[in-house]
Amino acid sequence: MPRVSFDAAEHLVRYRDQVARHRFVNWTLSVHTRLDIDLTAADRYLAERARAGRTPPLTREHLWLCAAARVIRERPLFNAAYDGFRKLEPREDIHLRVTVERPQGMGRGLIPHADRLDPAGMARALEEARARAAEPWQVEAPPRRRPGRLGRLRDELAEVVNDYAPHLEPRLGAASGHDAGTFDVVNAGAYGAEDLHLVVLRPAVAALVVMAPREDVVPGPEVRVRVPMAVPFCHKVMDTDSAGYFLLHMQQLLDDPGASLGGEGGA
Amino acid sequence: MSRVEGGLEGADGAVLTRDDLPLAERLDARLDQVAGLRYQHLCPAANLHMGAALAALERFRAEREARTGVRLGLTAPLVRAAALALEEAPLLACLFDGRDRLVPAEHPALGVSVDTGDAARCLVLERARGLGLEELAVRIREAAARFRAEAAPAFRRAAPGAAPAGARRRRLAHLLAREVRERFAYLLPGEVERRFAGHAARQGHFTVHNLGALGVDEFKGFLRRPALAALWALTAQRRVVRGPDGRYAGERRLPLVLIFSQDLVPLDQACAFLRGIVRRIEQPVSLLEGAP
Repeated sequence: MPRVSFDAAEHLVRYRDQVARHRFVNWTLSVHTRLDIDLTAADRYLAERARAGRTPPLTREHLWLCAAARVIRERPLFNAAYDGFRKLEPREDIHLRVTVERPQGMGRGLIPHADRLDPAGMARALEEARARAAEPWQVEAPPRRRPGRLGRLRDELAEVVNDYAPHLEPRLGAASGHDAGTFDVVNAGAYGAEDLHLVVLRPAVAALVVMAPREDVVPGPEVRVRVPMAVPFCHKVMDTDSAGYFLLHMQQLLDDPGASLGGEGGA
Repeated sequence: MSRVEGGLEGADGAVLTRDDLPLAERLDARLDQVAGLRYQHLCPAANLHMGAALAALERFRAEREARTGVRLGLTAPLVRAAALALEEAPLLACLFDGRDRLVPAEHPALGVSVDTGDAARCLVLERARGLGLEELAVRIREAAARFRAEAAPAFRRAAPGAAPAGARRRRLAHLLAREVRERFAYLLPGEVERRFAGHAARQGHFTVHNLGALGVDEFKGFLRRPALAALWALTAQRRVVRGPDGRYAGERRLPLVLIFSQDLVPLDQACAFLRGIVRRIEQPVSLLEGAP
């Protein structure tokens, strides 16, 4: 097989802002919490809806995005902005930043006010997000980076100070930068991932990662469709039980999507 | 070992103070490791898991071993699959200084973690893409035998008495000097490239670890710069899966974990790379592709 051509310099230029976003001072203490969500009931709902010929056609992704937005509305801590030190700001609007598949590769789309959408509205919003998706290397507000060796030296020194005295960060002119949206949903299952532990970057306090579905044979015997979902979260602002309840609440909503995800009439 | 006044009591009844505990000696020997695992030197590492069905590889291995007389094991096919998959994902064999230098490897060297009985050591395979399955298996086995013969003596208890005077101060000075060297290496012309070359010679551009040999079922790791990714295989597991004919049957699966740097490696490329390894393990004839 011919070797794939790869331009390292070009790649680095593209990902410059992502690298700046991922500097270690932006990492949160990310704890991985996972629950295998049973989607057998959701699948039944989707099949019944398809048999009835209702449009637009729905998928599991539309349902879990709706469910995630509902859970975030009930648990606003997951939607908060955290400076990594002592400022935690709740955010009213729920804008999901989602991974989308495209012929040219993965992109990042934005679903504004996701908690106001029913599954049909979510399907339309996801298509719009796909059409307007940003490239994976784009950062909406990258942190400042000074150019040149001297600039790097100043940045590094600022990072050392920030490491020991985070309260001085604003005075040093540094900032974490931020991505679009208020909460990240990563559909890693679309690329075959069976589990994915992510590092959460401030100001986000958590994210939702959805893995590839699998079939489990359970006593009965019967076959259940399960989708492992994980909520990596910042341990400074919440504990594992918060993430566990988030996932449990997702399971409850997806157990009866027809009744629980009705929403407010779509987009 | 139990806690007593003035230190800990060892199995032989001798009281160990903090300065002559084997652990302190061990830490001294790993000062660089300790300093290197500070946040600044780590990648924002994402851990990606996938599983590969082993049935086809086990059949292939049995046939091949009967024909060539060389025992393949699991590590050699895994290394071969990684070497081939890296051709399609050259980004993962690059070395990165964390900010300004991303250096691709024209002929990636693969580091293979080799079990020596009570520790693992890294065997570096230059131009790993050009090595066939049997050659890989032989080299790994020879390296394991060599490493076992050279195995460092077990950590001994320090000589009776306290640690040498000034040891703590020297340790602190060493750590500080290392921290400064690591942080500001880029200020010296050519220093980053020298470090990259040293890393490639010690650990390769990409490392493969087989923890299955130790019976490890679950793993979450970090990754230190300048590497951008590394692969771990865990203990094979049995799972019930539905076959193409719709019937359910037990299947042995090899769990694989790819740790990659979240800043520079997009998720879809990391997944495509790991899927490439899974595909080669599930269709092992492809491991012979381009073999010498």
